[in-house]
Amino acid sequence: MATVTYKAASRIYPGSDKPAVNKLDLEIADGEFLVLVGPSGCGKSTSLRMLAGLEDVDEGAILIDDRDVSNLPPKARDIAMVFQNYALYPHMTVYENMAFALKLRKTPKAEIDARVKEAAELLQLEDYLKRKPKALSGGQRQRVAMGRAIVRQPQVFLMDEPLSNLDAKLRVQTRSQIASLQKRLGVTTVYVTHDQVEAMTMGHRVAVMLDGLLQQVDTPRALYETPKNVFVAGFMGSPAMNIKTVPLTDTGAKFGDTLIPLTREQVAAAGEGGQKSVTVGVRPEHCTIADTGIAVEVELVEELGSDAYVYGFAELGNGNGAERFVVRAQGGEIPRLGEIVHIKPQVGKEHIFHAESGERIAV
Amino acid sequence: MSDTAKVSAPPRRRKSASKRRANWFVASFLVLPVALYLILVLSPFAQAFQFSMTNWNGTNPDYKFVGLENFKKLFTSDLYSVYLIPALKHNAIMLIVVPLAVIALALFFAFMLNVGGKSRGGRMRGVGGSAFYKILFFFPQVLSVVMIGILWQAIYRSDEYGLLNALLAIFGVPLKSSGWVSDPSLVLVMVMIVMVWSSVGFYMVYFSSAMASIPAEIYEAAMIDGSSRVQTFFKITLPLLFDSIRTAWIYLGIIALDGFALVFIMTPQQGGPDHGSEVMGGVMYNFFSNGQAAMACAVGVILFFFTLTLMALSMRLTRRENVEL
Amino acid sequence: MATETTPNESGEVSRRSVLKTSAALGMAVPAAGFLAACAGGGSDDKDGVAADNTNAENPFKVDGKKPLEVVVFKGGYGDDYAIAQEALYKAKFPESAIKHAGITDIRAEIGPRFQSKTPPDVLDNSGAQQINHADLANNGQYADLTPLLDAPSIDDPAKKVRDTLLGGVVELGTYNGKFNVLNYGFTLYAIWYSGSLFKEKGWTEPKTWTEMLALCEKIKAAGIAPWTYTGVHPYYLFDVLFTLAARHGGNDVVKNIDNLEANAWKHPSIKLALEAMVSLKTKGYILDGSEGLDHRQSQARFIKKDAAFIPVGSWLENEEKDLLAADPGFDLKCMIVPALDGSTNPNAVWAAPGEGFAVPQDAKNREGGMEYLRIMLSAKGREAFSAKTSSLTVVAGKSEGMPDTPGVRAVQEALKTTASAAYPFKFDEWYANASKGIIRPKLGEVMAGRLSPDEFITIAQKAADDIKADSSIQKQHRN
Repeated sequence: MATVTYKAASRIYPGSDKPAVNKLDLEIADGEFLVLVGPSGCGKSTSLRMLAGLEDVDEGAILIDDRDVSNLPPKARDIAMVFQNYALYPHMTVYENMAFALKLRKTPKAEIDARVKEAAELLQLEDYLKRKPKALSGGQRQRVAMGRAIVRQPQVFLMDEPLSNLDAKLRVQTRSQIASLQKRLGVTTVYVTHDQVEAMTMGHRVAVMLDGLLQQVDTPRALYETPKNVFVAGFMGSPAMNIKTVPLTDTGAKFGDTLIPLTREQVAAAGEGGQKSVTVGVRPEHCTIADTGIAVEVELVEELGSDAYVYGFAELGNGNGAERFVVRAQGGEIPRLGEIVHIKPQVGKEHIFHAESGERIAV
Repeated sequence: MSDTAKVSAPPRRRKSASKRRANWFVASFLVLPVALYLILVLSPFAQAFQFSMTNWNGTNPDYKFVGLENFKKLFTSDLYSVYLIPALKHNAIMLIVVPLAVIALALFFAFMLNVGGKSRGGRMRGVGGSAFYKILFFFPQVLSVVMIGILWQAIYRSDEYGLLNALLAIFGVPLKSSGWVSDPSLVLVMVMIVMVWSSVGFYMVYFSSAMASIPAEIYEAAMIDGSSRVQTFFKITLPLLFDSIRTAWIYLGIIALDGFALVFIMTPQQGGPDHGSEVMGGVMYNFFSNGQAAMACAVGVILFFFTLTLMALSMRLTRRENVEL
Repeated sequence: MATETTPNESGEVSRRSVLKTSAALGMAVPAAGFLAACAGGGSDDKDGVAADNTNAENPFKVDGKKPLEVVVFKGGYGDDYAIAQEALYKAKFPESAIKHAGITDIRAEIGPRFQSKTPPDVLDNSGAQQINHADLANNGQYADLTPLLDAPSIDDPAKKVRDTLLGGVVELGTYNGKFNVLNYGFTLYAIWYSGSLFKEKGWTEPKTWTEMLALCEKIKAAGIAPWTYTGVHPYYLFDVLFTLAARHGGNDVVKNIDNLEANAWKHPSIKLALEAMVSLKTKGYILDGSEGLDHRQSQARFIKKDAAFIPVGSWLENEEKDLLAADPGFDLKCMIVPALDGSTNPNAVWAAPGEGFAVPQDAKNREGGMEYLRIMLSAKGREAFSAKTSSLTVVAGKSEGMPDTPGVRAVQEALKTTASAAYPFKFDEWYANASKGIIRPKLGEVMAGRLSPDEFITIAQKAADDIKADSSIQKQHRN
């Protein structure tokens, strides 16, 4: 158990000028579950692999517990990793897979046995110890991969999209198992995923990355309520926030027929750089269907049982033609296809961003 | 289920005419290759069995049946056993040594050239100069066996113009008058060296591609687990290559059971000196050339059973569950 | 050793055909055999060719309209000479269509034709892949060429063909009392040396073995290896061994070996001959590494004057003409191996004509074949051969068309003294399997110093006894 620090760490692949990871600064506390999330190519896996020692640290440093491990080989770093494809040794049994690292360190047999059995119990793998990976289901293999990491009793757990290969139901189930396991063991964990739902539900803190740059690292709630820029706003939350660029007036943002009032400071900040537009975001669950508001022609209704998501198009009068909108509707009042409904953002739930830089404009 | 069982099976309908035509069409493509195979491969095989029990000399149409007489003579009469016994011995030796040497070297080179280097940047790489070595080691494959034989003949030449002797002379080693392939106690080793040299490149490539099919992640997991390069090779790479190794062993075994082309080109008396490098293929060739065609067929029959036994044994001993990667 | 005198065009051709041969051997021959087996066994009992010896022009009553097929081994002699000789036949029988083939693998290509009883009319059965003459002769697959011997020769109709041939030729080609094979190309086995080198160093041809040893000592002192030899093919040593033995103990020494007489190999002359040969090695008179050299390599070293003597056949000049052309003053000379002390028959020489021509019994045009052979023996035929091959034929005396080269002159010199004391050596041909499997390798081992003469004799005698005891091997006999 230890802290992990990325100090302006960068990774530039030879032959390309754009860094895959660009001066990443991140501090992870002891025992914290930190999730790295972002779209593909954002550098989250690369950052994880840099911590593992599978990628070079071209600039900056990575510290584990204040020890600079940037140039150490993986085995000297005392970390354990769970791979997306599990990377189990196909020719070894479950027991041997989990015991492998300990055998290499010449741990006494009795201790190996004890630790493996303990991890197996924790993950409900006792009945599978003699099987080979090909005789296991996806979920079981995933648990073996975790077991392999647990047995090592490392300072840091690294997980590279371990749930991506599981089916939806299993994914949800395993998600909570991993979270509770981590809580129980209390080991610092760095977890990479592209699924923002996983990020929100599992992490103590979530770090959002894009194009190698860290966008925001915060608790899930903070990311949800106060996203720092347009990208984070649009990335977190499902379905995604409705983000539209609308004309800026002296008093606010013209959201179709509705005017969203802005303070003078906000208007000034939004108008910086001679901007005549401003980007406004409002989440589907913060929109209400009312008698007045933006007119949305219903194109699709997604019934989810408890509620429904209504997809439609609306003209905002900003010269972009019909724009897409998503709004959450309660169970009872579900509109029909082709209907025109009126949408109103809940007061105080709008997010304002600078039209060009995308940065959040404070309330 | 019981309901459906009660319904009587639909009456068997004759295959539709078009289906039959289609079958004939497909079969017509097979006629030629199967016929060729029957006439040129299976038929001579069968005839070898027949001729081995006659006194045919290769050119007389009026040969007679002699039963197992030829087989008896091959083992008991000095006139024939002087060819056969050394050949059996030599092929057996080659069978053990050549596959072992080739596989060990090929594995070593494949490992060094693919994952043996420093793994900078996390990606497995070969040692420095890998690209060059790969071409160098594969080079013998583009040479025909005749060229290889002639090449090594020049290397092994027994006077001071031989390349090997010239090299040794630089180090002050005196000329060995009995030569290399003209020394009956050394000739087999010399031939085996050439066999190994000419095969390693191919199997190096073969194992390389097998190694490449091992996902990089497994190597990464091994690295994280703390495995050194040597440990990874023996505990991870080797077991996962088992099927490739077994295939290689079989092919190399076949080469070792032959070996005749090299022996014919490189050795004195084509199997000497004094039968020091005699091989089964050569014995057959010599018997045919000396007008002992029936004896040659008998040797062929012996070789057939020898090979069959060997194959059956090796398949049984190396049977193993398939490992899915 | 008639059958090996023609050099198989060094190693190149046979190497190229190695794989082809084994494939062809393995497949083509049994296939033909399958068909032949259906046809039933035995050669047709054709009568021999009748000859009308009063008709000097066409004694065999050749039908001029019938085609003639000639197959020639294309080796050291090439096959241009045959094409020239075929032109002579064509001139005589213009309506006959002549089919010519010059091939290297006789066994693979013609063997099946014997099996299926469709052989060519004339066959030059020579080279490394020849079919054993004995196998074909013993089985009646060769026509009896006695009519040829008794026919008038073309140049001098008063003389029979038989009387124009050198001594030993008829004996050499006789099997079971019938003359089946005309060995056409005259080859002399000898010890060769460079006349200019000897002149320069003041050395003379040794007349006895003792003189040879003394000369070798002088040669060694001059920094040259006295002897080299083709180590990889021990049959090159047969001449030295048997000529020394025959000179010492008489030609019957060799005859008894051929006839599988009891203890034939144990004759003291054999042992003395072997010991003499071994003494060359023990006294350090052999060029280092010789036992591993092939014929081209040893001959090249000889021409380079790294060695003074080399035992080889008279094809040497033709085979190494390029190397000799580079050294025009070489002055190639030869001598028969000098006799040991106490030799009773000091002029013996090995009669070793090669290039065995035969007319198959089942040939369609046997008469034409025999006439073709008669033409080959005529002056014009011989001229065609000698001009293209720089070699002599087995016809005594005249040598039209022979270029005047040192090698040729050397052979003619040697022939002057030897014609009467020629002996043949047939063991290697009659019992090829044992000779190639035991005698030749073991002789090589003796010369390399790894086997003693006594051990060799014991092994050779056992092999001879084994052959005698094996009823499945057809025995031959010569008088």
